[in-house]
Amino acid sequence: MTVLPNLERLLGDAADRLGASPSSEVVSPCSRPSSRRPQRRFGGLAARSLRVSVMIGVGAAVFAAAAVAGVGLLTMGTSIGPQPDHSPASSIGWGSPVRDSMEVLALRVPDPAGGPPWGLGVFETTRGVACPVTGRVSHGQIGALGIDYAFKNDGRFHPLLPSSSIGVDCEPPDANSHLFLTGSPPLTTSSGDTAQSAAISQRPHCNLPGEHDWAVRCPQDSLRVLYYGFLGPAARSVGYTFGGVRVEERVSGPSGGYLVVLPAPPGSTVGKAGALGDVAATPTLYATYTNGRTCAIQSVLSSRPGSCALVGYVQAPTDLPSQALIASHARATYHGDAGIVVTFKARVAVTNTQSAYGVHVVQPSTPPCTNEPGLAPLDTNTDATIAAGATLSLTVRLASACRGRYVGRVYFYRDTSPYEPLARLLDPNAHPPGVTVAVFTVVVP
Amino acid sequence: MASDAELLARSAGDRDAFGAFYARYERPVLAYLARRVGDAQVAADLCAETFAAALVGASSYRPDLETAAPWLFGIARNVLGASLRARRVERDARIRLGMREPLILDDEDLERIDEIASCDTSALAFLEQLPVAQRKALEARVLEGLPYRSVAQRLECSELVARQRVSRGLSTLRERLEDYR
Repeated sequence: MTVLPNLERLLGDAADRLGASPSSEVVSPCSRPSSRRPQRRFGGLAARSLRVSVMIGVGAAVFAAAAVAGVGLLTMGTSIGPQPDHSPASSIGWGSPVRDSMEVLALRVPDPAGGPPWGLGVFETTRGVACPVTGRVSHGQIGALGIDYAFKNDGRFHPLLPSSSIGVDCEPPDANSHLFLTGSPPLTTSSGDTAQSAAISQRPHCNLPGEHDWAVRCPQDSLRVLYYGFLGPAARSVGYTFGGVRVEERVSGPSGGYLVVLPAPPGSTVGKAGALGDVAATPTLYATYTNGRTCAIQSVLSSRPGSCALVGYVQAPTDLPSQALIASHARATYHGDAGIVVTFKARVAVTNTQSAYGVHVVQPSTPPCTNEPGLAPLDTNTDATIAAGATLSLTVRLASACRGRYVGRVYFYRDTSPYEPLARLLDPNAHPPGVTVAVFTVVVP
Repeated sequence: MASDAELLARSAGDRDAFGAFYARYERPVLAYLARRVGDAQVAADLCAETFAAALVGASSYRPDLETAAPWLFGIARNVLGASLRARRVERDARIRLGMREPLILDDEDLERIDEIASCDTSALAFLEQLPVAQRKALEARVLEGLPYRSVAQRLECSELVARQRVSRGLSTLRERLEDYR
């Protein structure tokens, strides 16, 4: 007897469907015959001291520049970034990168198999968040190498455009412009291409249609586990024990950036359903702060008890506008399956991700309109930059066909508290109550 | 008893095989997730996506290890991480599998999840970091509730050794939890 027999049934149905549809079977391209695999380009730990021109064996001409320079520079290849029609808009979501805002931290981390070091960078966006970037470093830039199927194994260095990393781990800084975040996903390949929005053809090992990158088994020695993030100005170092060796690295930059690159444990796969193999083989990282306090770095930074990953966070003032300033009239209409459309005037501008307008609707309390499990909450909010005086129309989709009189509220909120994705997951609409813009009622016939 | 690898290999088209795999790991995965999010409904949602992703990725599972637990918990962690980043529980795997029917939970379901999470499973977060031998012993004894004799059979060791591994594993967990706290 399972705890959730309903889920067991749904999964059973899915398993049956999977068997009935051979084309849906997931393919592991990297599991194909080894003749398709290129030879490893780096010779293991002992090869670290070798020059790049020696370690990368694709072609002498490709690495001529590296050999001359002798400092790990590779021939430049195409940049990694989204296609033009996929460029993030500057006024929605996290926004778009601010030109020339990319800062590459001074820390350099050797790869277990040698070659150009790994680095950590961060850039700002037009909507006030900071986004971390990791990858191999060459020419003073962060990017990826054309190895292990990436970039058709061209052996070149491909700089990572900031636009390719929007939304991966972006978060707003605190009042003093310090960052607090831990990066993910932790599993990547030695190529260094961690760009989530890069074209499929550019992804490491997955120079195949998108269907094939679900859970890809790659040559074990090409996988890496990356631990990176920013622990704030009070962090001093990050330590861990790996292979019986205790390592302690100082953090870098004003926000306490850190980056650790280790070989992935056996059995790891990359892709959406990818996972660390033997996670017991991965170390726990500990942060040490200037006051001597040490604690385990959690996968999610939090101000919750037990976490010390938000040491030094300074919250910006909320500065909510008065209700008199922001009050407006709201018009709500029922549009059938589309839901309830609420139109109102935004008297206060929204300039970053920490402010928004929202609509909350309460459905009739008469049966069968009481809360049904699994139904979406009757809320919505803006996720864009809004000019003062703009007229907004927000749609609240109804989760059921309950008839009757719905009561709603339009509000404006500004949330400068530490960004805690866990809290958002528990309640996607969790934020301060904000200031009421308008109230409305609408009848669903 | 079929191994995890055998069940996963047969899972496409064989609901009983994947059902057995699900039944084997449902409780520890639910506990793992519920302890992290502190909400039974969200934990159930994450659990559904975790097993859906496992079903999708079953063909890529390579039985390097005797148990699929590390692989499955790795997926659970990925699903949780991706959901946290997206600020909503991921549904990619379920959509891919055509699982459009919502997971309906009643109060009894939620209470059971809370019970699982309220057990002393706070060590789960660190379980996956234990030495393999200790972790397997703890998984069998604590998460699956097997008697020591069965634990010993599964691990192919004596009952005494199984007890030692569980004891040492618990001791290590306690130390790490104290560090954490």
